[in-house]
Amino acid sequence: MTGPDAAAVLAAEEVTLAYGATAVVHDVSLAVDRGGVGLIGESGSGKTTLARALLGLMRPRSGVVRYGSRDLAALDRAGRAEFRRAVQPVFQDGSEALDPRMTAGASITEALTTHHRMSRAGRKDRVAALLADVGLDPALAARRPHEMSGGQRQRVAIARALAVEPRLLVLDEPTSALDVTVQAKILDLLEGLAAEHGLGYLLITHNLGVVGRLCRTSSVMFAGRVVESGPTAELLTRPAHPYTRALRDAVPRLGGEPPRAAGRTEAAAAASGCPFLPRCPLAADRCREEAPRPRDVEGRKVACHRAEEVLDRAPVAHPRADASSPAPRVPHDGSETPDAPRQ
Amino acid sequence: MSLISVRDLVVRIGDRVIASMPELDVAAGECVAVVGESGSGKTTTLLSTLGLVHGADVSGRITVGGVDVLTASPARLREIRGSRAALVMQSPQAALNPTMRLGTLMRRALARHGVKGADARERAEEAVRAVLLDPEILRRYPHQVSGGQAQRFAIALALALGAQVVLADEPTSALDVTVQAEVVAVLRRLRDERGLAVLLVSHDLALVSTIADRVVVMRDGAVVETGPAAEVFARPRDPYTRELIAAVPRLPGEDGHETASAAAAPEEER
Repeated sequence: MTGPDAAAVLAAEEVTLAYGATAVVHDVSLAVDRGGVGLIGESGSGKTTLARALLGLMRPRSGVVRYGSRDLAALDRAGRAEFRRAVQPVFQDGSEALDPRMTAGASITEALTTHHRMSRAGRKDRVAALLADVGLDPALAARRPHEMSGGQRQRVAIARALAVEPRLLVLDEPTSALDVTVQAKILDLLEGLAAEHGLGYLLITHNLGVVGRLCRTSSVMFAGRVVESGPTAELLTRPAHPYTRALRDAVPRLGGEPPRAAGRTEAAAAASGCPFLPRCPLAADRCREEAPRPRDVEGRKVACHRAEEVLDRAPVAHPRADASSPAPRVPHDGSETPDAPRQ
Repeated sequence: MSLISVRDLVVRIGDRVIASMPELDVAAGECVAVVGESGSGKTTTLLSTLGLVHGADVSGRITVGGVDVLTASPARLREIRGSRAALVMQSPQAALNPTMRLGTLMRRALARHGVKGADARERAEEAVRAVLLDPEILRRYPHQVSGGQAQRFAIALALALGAQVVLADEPTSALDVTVQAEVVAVLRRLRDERGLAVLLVSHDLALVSTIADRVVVMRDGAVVETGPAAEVFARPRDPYTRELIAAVPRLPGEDGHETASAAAAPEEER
C-alpha cells in the first residue's frame, strides 16, 4: 500500500508540542525505520508527549510528523486508517491495552477483525499463531487479564499489536512494570520479532541497559529537547553531552562502584541559554548567553557548546576494567569516595 | 549487636507459607538487602519486622533495637515505628500529609517526642542536611517537592526522631536514575557515617550490588541463597540467583563479568 520510498516509516521534523501555551517539546527531529530506536530521558523530559504526537494523538504546534513521506496531519480517512494499522503502541502495563472483561483471544480477534474480514476458523488459527509468536501457549486465549501474570499480559498486548501486521511499534516503558527475569524474556521477544518481521520500533525508556541492548541508535531528551543522538553504544560508552554522561554515570552496575550522584537534579531547566545550565558542571559564560544548537560531533548530534571537552573526560570503553583508577569524572558529584576495587 | 534480628520467621495465610526467613541480622553500620521478584516474600519479611503484616499468622522471633516485635504492646510498636525505625516506601509523597508544610510535619513529630522550640528547629535542620537537602525545603508542601526530595525527607524525619534502623522497600523504583543515585548516596552515607542499620528490599540487583554488605535472595517465600554481597554477585551458587543476575540489562561496554557467563552475552559486549 505504501509505495517504496526512501523516507523513514515515521519521523518527527522540528516538532514543537504544547499543552495550551506551554511548549513541552521543542524542535525535535527523530526518525524510526527498521530496527530499534531508543528515546531516553527522565520524567518530565517530554518523551511520552513526543510519543503521543508520533502516534497521531497530538498535533504539533509547529513542525511535521511524517508517516513515510506524508504529513500525518494531512492524511485523508484512508490514510489515517492505514497509519493506525501500521503504527501500534505498546504501553507500560499490558492490562491498559486489554479489556478486563475480554479473554486474550477475544482481544486479539477484535484487533484482527478491525482491519480484515476473516472466517471464524481463520481467526482462531491466527490467534493461536500470534500467541505462539509471543511465546505463549495458545490455550491462554481463554484467559482474562486478571488470570494472567504481568509478563503474560504484556505478551498478549504485544500479540494484539502484531495482529494487524504493523510496520512499527511505539513502546513506552514496555518492561518497567515487570520482574527482571520477565523483562529479559520480553526483550528477547522484541529483539526476535524485529528481526523476523522486519519491524521497526521506538523504545521509550529511562532504562539505559534496555536501550543499550535493543536499540542501534538513540536520542536523549532533556527538558523537551533532544540534547544528544547517535549510535547507542557510542552515546553510552563515550557521551558527548553532560546530561547523557550524568545519566550513564548514575546507572548502578552489578558489582561496580556506586552510582554517581551528579547533584542538583531538582534544578529547573534554564529559561534562556542552555536549558541544562543549572545542572551542568561545565557551565560557562557562553552557555548562559546562547542556547546550543545541535551540531555534528564525532558521529553524533550534540547540543552542547563544550561537547569536545565532555568527550575528552569520558572514560573509554570498559568503565569497570579500570575501577581501581577511576577515570576523571565530572566534578562536584554529591557522592562519596568510590569503593575499593572488588577483585 | 544486631539492631534487627529475625529467627525462624514464618508468615502464613491459611496453610500457605508466604514468607519464611530462618535467620536475618542487620548490625549497626551494615546494609543487608533482600532481593527477589514479585511474590518472593521480600516485602512481607520487611513488614514483619515492624509488626505490619495483617491478616496472616506470623510466628518466630523478631527484635528491632532489642524490642521483641511480636510480643510488644501496640504502644511499644508505635514507638518503634515512630522513633527507632524509619520505613521508607516506594512513593513517599503518599505518606506525607499534603496539607502541612514539611517543617510543620517535622515539628509535630518531634513535639510528640518532647522536642520543642529551638531544639526542634535545630534537629530538623540537622536531619535535613544529613540527607543532603537544603533546610529551605522545610517551608514547602509535599506537592512542591520532587519524588527524590520527598524520599530523602522521609528518611530525615526518622533521623530527627533518632532512628537507628532504616527499612527501605524499593526506595528508588519510582525515581529517575539520576535521582536514584542521590538516594543511594544518602543511604550509604548514613550507614557509613552514622552507623545506621539498613534493611533494603529491592528487585534491582545492580543497585543492591552497589550498596549491600550482605544479600538474601528469596523466591516463592523462601530463602534460596544468602551471603556477603561481593561473594553472591561474583559466585552465585543457586541457579535462580544466577538467572536473576543474568537478567540484569548491562550497558554497552560494561563487562559481563564471570557472573554473567551463564547468560546470553549482550550484543554490544566486547
